Amino acid sequence: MQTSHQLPSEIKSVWRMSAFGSLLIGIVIIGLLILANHFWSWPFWLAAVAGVLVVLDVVVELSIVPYRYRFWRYAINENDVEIESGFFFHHETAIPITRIQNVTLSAGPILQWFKLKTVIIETAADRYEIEAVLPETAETLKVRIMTLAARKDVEDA
Amino acid sequence: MPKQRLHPLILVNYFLGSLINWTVIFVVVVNVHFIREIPAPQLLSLLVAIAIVTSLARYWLFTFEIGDQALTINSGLIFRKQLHIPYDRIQTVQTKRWFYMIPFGLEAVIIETAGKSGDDGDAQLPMVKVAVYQELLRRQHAGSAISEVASVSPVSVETSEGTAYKINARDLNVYALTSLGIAPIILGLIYAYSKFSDVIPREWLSRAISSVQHAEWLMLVTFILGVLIVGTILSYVQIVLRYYGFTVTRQRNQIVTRRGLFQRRTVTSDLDRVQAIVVKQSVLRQLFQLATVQTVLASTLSDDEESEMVVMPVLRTDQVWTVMPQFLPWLPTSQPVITAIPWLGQWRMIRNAVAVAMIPVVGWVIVARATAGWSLLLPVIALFLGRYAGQHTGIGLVADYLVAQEGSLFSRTLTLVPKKRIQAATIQQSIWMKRVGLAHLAVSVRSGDAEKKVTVRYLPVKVARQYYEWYRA
Repeated sequence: MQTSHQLPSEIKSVWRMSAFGSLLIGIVIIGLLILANHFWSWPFWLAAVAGVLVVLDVVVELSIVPYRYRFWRYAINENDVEIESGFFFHHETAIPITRIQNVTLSAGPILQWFKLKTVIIETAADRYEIEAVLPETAETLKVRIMTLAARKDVEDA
Repeated sequence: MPKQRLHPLILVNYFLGSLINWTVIFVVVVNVHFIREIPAPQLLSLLVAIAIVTSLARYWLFTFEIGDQALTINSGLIFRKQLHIPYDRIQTVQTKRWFYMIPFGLEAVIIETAGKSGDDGDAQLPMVKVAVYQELLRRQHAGSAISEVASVSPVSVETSEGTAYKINARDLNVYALTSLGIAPIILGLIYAYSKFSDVIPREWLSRAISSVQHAEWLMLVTFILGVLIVGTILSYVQIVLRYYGFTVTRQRNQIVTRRGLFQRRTVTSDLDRVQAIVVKQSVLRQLFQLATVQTVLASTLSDDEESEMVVMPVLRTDQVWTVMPQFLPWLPTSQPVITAIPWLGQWRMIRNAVAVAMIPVVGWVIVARATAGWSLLLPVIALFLGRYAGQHTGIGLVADYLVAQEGSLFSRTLTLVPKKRIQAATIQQSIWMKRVGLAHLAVSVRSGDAEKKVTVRYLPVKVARQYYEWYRA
């Protein structure tokens, strides 16, 4: 990719916060299991196993943040959108803009806090995500797709 | 046209359907003891009464109207539903005609629209006069090509035969005999047997078993042979019934297939909707030099059978590229050249298949050590599966079409996708593949209402990138 971009660096904080979110959810689940153990004498090892899984999940989620950031790239070219991700399992996808059916911008509470947006690109067959972009980038993408779509209409006519 | 109702014969369908449903509901949901207290005749008449009332209500509430601009269908008792389908949005019109509908000149009409809207995408008129179908087709044509239809009368649209092909008895036979549809039927038989063996009286069964106990092996062999024979016959009959009298015709921009004995089925679809062509050969049919040609269609039906339409059930391999272009004009007229993947990649496919087969082997050894020797058959079969897959994987280009060949489970699939129908392309590579310079190339195609991924595995990374760039250019 010639002009590829990394995701905005704030995404690292977003990922760390979402790891923290998983930790919170995990703690709630462990808490419920401990209560269940106390009141309905569910086996205690359920809570223990859940605890180990939660810790593992959070540790892995936190430790891969730099790699995820390092290898996640996207490019919005003249004719297509390219998305590249993964180190151990590397994927590189090209979606011609003329195949894009619609683009959805969405942002959960954490992304909103950082003023970022997720771009969801849908083709007739499948959907692809650019996990986070700055609002200007989202605007650029939208405008480019609209111009190209318009040009395609002219060709068709 | 005024509001119309379905043909009253639908009442029979509705009645039987709701009778069965309500019986199931009574048996499953309502307390069994409660039912036992009601005498059988009363219970039966109660069920019949419910069935009659609900069928009449459904019949009365289902109306449709072939308007100037759109087809309107009203249905529903508690939730009234009104469905409008503008004619220019109709993608395909299918008909299904059961043998008992033929004397009345009736059929079921299924209308498919574009758009990805899930269940609401298609509409059905389950029992109408044949004229309704013709009227719909006429309106659909009128909407899609006003200038063209002006000169062609609706009757000639229906009767003018373009290129046509009709299956002959021999081909149908060969097709049915070489089908591997027997496997699911055998599973079904074994399931049915296991259900039935509960029903057969115990003493009868044990007497039968003890009398042949000394010939346990003989019984086992007979049983297996019996299942195989019955399975083969059932699968044969099923396929013959389904593809009986198969014809495919091309009328201008439409492909029409008709098939079936008890249920006559017509599918009319636009050539523009074809996303890809698939040429399929099981190892058995490869032996006989036979192939099946299917089209992958974009539609709102997520059903597999609907999205992959068989255009040609059986054709000699050497005829595929001479006959098929008559129906699908953009197909190449000679066998496309395919480059196989390197040995390094083929070896990986064998390795993967054997590795997967080792999982149940390990389980087997742990659970039942005594018979674990048998489990070694699995990796051996896997070895051949992997070898087959590796040998039959390849990629090629014909003009603006990608040709991808995949081998899996002893069947070879050649997919031709026009570049403009590829929705996205992906290069996939794990770090282990990076070391040896291999990569997968996957292209995304629409099939029915969902995605079909066509993947060519273990290509040299240079080749994968070359095709990727071809797609991007």
